[in-house]
Amino acid sequence: MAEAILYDSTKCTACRACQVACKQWNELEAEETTNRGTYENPPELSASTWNKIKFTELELNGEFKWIFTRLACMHCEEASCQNVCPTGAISKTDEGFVLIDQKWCIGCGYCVQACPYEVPHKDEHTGTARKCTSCADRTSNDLKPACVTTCPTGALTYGDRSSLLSDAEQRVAALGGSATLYGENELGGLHALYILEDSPEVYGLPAEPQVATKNSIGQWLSGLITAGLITALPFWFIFRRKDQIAVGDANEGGAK
Amino acid sequence: MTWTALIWIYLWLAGMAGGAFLAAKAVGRFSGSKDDSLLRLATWLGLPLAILGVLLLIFELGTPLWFWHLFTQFDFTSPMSMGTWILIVWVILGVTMLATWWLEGKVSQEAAASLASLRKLISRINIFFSAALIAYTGVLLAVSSQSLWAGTILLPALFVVSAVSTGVAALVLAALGLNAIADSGMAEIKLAINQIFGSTEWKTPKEMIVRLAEADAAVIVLEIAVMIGYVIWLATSTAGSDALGVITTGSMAAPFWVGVVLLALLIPFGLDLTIRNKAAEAKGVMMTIVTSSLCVIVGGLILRWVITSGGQL
Amino acid sequence: MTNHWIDIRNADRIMIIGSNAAENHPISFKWVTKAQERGAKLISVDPRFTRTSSKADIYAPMRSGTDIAFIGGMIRYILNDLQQLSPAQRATKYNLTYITQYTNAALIVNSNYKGPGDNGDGLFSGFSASSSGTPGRLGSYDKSTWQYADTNTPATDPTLLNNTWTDWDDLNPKCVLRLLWEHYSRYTPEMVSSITGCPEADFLNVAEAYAESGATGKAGTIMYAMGTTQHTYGTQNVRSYAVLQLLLGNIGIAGGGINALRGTSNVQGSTDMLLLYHLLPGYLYMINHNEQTLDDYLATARKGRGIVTPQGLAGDKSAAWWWYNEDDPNSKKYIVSLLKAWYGDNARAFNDFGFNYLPKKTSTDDYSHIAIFEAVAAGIIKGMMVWGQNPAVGGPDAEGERKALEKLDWLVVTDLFETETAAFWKRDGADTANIDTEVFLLPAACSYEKQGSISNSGRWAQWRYKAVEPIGTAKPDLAIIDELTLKLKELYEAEGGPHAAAITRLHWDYRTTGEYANEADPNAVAKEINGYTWDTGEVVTSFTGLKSDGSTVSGNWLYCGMFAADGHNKAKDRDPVDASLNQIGLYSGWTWCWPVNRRIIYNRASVDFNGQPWDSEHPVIKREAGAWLGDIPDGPWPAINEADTGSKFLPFIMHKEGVGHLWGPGVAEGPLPEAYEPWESPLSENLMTGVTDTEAKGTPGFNDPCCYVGDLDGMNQRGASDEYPCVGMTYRLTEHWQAGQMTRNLPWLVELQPQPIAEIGEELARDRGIENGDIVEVSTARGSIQAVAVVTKRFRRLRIGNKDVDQVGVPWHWGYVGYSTGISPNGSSGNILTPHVGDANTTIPEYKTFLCDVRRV
Repeated sequence: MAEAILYDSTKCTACRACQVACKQWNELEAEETTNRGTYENPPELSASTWNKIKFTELELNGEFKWIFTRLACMHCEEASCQNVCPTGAISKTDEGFVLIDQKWCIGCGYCVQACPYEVPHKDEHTGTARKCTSCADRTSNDLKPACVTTCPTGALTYGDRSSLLSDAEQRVAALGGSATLYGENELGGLHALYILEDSPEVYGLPAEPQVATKNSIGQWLSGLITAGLITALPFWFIFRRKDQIAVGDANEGGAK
Repeated sequence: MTWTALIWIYLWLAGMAGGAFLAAKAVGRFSGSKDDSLLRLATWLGLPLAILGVLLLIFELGTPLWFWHLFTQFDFTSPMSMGTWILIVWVILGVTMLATWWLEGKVSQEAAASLASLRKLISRINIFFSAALIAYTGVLLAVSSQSLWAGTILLPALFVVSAVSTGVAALVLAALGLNAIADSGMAEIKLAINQIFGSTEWKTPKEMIVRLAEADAAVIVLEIAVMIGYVIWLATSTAGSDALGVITTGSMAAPFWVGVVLLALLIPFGLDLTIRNKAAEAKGVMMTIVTSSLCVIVGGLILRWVITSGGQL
Repeated sequence: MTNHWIDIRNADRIMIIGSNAAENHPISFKWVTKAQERGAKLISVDPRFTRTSSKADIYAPMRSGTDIAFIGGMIRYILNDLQQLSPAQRATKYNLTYITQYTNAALIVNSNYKGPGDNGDGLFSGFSASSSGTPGRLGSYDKSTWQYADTNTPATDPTLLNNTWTDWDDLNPKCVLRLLWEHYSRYTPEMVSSITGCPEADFLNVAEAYAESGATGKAGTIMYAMGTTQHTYGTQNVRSYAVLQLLLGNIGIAGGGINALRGTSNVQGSTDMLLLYHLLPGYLYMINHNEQTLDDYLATARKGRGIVTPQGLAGDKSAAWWWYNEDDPNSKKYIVSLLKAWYGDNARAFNDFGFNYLPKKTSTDDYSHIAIFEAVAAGIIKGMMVWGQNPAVGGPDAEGERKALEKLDWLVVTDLFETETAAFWKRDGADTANIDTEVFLLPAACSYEKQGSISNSGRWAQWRYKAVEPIGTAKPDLAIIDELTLKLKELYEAEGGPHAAAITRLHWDYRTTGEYANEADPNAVAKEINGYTWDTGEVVTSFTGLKSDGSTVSGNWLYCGMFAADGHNKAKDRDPVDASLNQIGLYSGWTWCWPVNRRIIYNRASVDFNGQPWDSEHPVIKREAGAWLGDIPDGPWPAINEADTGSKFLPFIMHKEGVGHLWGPGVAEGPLPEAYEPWESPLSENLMTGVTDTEAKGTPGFNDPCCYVGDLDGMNQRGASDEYPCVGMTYRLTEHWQAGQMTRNLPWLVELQPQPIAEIGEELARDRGIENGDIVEVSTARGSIQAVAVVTKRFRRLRIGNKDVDQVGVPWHWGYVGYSTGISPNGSSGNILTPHVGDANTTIPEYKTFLCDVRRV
């Protein structure tokens, strides 16, 4: 059955207990950070930071806002990382969560480049790509993901995707205004759903994310056709003159 | 940065290898010559480059010892998986071709004839794999979520043209190098080359070298056209123009303008223009060709650096 | 908290002021969020736009330290509304029965009373300035003119009770509601805006939205914390909330109350158990030196605390002042049971149950944190035990307190890690050669390494179990104190010493069997706190069962009842079923709370004269067929209309007059909160009182007239606004805990907040040439610290009077020991900046407002 994590940004107080719970459960190292003039840290997701809250100060309709966004694996139905993985190390669980098999990943880094949300990162120590697993080791034992379990406000919930979707729709309707539900249809449907007060762009989420392999055929054709043209045109142009160049003629200096 | 120098050097080497092969094959086709020593040179040049590239790639992996996992999977949607197989086939076909050349002088004339026709068949098949190989160097990047790479479909085209350009330049330099050896007194080296080529005929006529340089100039014209198309295409989207900004005005701007625009494109094109209608023996022609080819090769490397790194910033 | 965490969900209006609940009490937002989902409006009033503000429906900025002006303005808004409305409308928009019958609104006050507006000196009647200089209080009051005109049977104003007034002049000039108006009519929106810097429109927005919770059946809650209390007039800040809440009928009801969000998990428990110097466990009064016998003590306790019965109210009995009644007073039962707990067989009737073993204080002595450090600095205190505290980071004027520690002969620090306090002699600039203090560091077990109870802000005593064994030689605090006490007993028995009996006669017997064969068993301590019969050891199940003859033991009468008759500890109960009326979330079977498991105190104020709830949707208690349903009612007596004349109990049982205190004659600096300036103010004239600041150490009437001003051996300097033009404040971040010993040593938390910060607004940053992320220096008259500048729109420049004032915020978590330390060698604690001054009533330090300047390093 399809499961999902629902993040309601309107309930998130950015306490970041989820960030710490994630590190604790998954035994991820702390990063050495500095303050860069913001509460937000670490600066990016990384191999040892699978879940972080992004802080944004902005004015919306003339009103000052401090908004928060969860960054973690979206567990896309059409998962770019899975598509490009050359070894088949990336798979999807029955619940819809995307996992990187740490015993099979060779650390080529392709998923890192392919993810539309910049989620997987290569781990210097293990050599593999790592990211949020939606705590598969917990959820397969009837526990909720660590981040959801620790969330004090109920901003994070976990459960059956379709029932979360209907909850989320109600919540968005209740919020009214420009409130948005994100993740229902993006990339075939995400298993991380978002309730946003405004448009996804305001939160730094791509409004129309594309699967990395969307233009694969076009890209291959671009290369192959160009290869054909580039081999044909200039060489035909230069070498069409039939004045034969006998290689042997020049071989008088050779080692006969 | 996930993909470091090893990756862009690899893309450059593989492109050069495939590009050289394609160019040599094209020369053979359009010049109508039955002599395939240029192809032999291209194959001998390309294989070590490609294999070196593969080694770099393996070294870039997080878990190099598990590289064999790549060969357990054949996945059309993963360019890297496809690239792995293209590369392996390309190497096998190339090695087979080399073997036929090597054996040719050592077997009966009949057998030699069938070896030659086998080689011809393989080399035709390898046209496709060479094309696929150099296309792959671009597709690998283009099938991603990095705007600089995936924002257009012209990146594979750009890398392909550059691959052929660098491939021709590499052929030119290799041919000139062999000619220099041939003209020198290094007997042992000549003997060794005779042995590995399976032939004593490996000197390239100057005229051919000049033609190759001219062909490279023509390739560069197309490369400039593709580059312009690539830049304009990117500039029309928000994400694309942000990404483009990194290489045109951002931290990669210097290598882009100097290394790519000047070194890979304008300078070699200009140099090649100066030898137009000059005799191969004319003073400075070979020097100009050497300079131009070096520019193309180094410029090709910088192009891959700028694009690979710039795309990840 | 009068109410409890879960109850926040029942509110219709939530005002968070003096608290950053989302950051410092994250779990509170579980319930705030639930209330918002129901349609409640969240109001955030704060000098800074915080993570709390980010979730608020209405945000209002204010200058730090101007709560009374802000709340006073809200009180004026409501009073003005009451007067403007017709009597009929008045009764619809507000719970008029509650205001007039359940508070002292109608009571008549002494005719000699004068307010701060009357004399032009900003002072209430009865003030005399202190002559003793610092350290000490600026002055004190003779409170006699603040009392009711008739102190035993106060009269009421019938015009107010009958709701027949239209103009203020219709009311008795000395009735509380009219005095309230005389006082707060000065707090006009323009005045509020001028003092607080909050734009008038924002202020009115808050006042209007919050006043809506005054309707019968509506609830508004105030959540506050250290932003409220840590001021020279912190107690009056809380008082202003109480006045507001009583006017809106918000005390005693579900979703209402005044809710102090406690600063750490067990502050409530430590308060209950006596960690305040002026109280014994269970809020019994501390003994004064002139009380030589138990009877003396009880006589003082009773003095002036006889039953007061207001006349003319529907309720006619306030015998709820049961604590000090004449024959066999409860106070005696509690103190004797306490003494019996401490001295056991050595507590007998013939020796006043060991009464004279206890230490005594003079009535004026102050043993608060500030005063203790004044005494250390003055060389009076020679040895110190610092237990789970880190004054070198957390104390006010921290560098001054560090310097004071140098004068100690010995210092014992008990903590999880080496703290700045333990390492004070290693700090930058310490003259080690001239420090003779012997320092002992005792490693303590953390909360997961021991069992015991904590009492949360909602007064719930919750038992926690040990999860893992302590690391190394670390021990639970209880085991350490047990070992130490037994050793002390041994030494005093062998060697004697001054007042040795106080130690040698202690009944100290907490070791049991098994795991606790060789260290104190927290279960044994819990049983003693609850109480038991001395002879049989059977638990006493209610404080009504405690005896004054020495036959019962109870370490804290308030906790009597935590144990059930079968001897099991209800703090260990975890019944997840909410059996309350309409499931308002009392969860009465989940742990146990004092008093008598009453989840919402003053809950008799939540019902009308017939015992029917004002809010039928959220009934706390309800009278049905002669019985109370729901929460444990505040006293078992029937509803007012059901009771016989003379036994109609008024709802506020802890007040001698049985009604809520709009008028509060017991507080040090006045019966009504008045807007004084912080000790260090950007103004030279108090805009409310008109008093100018003329005295070097603080001016009564400009400043709080009774606040405590320290000296700290000359370290407590007072800055002026020409040199230090910005208003500074300290606070905590979600990611760190208090003085940081527990969090600055955890890499995962350090990753989140790696360095001390100074938050400033964009205007100030522009003026000072500071870019986001620069290292800046924040300085006050007492010291300076370096921090990373966080330049943000969340800090606004405010217009105060006729000048622009910028605010600077610094967290105080950092120090010079641990995994994450400050930027400047002094550890960058915000408390390097704070003054050694304290609240007029509690001497809690003024951590929240001071003058500072900031510059780029």
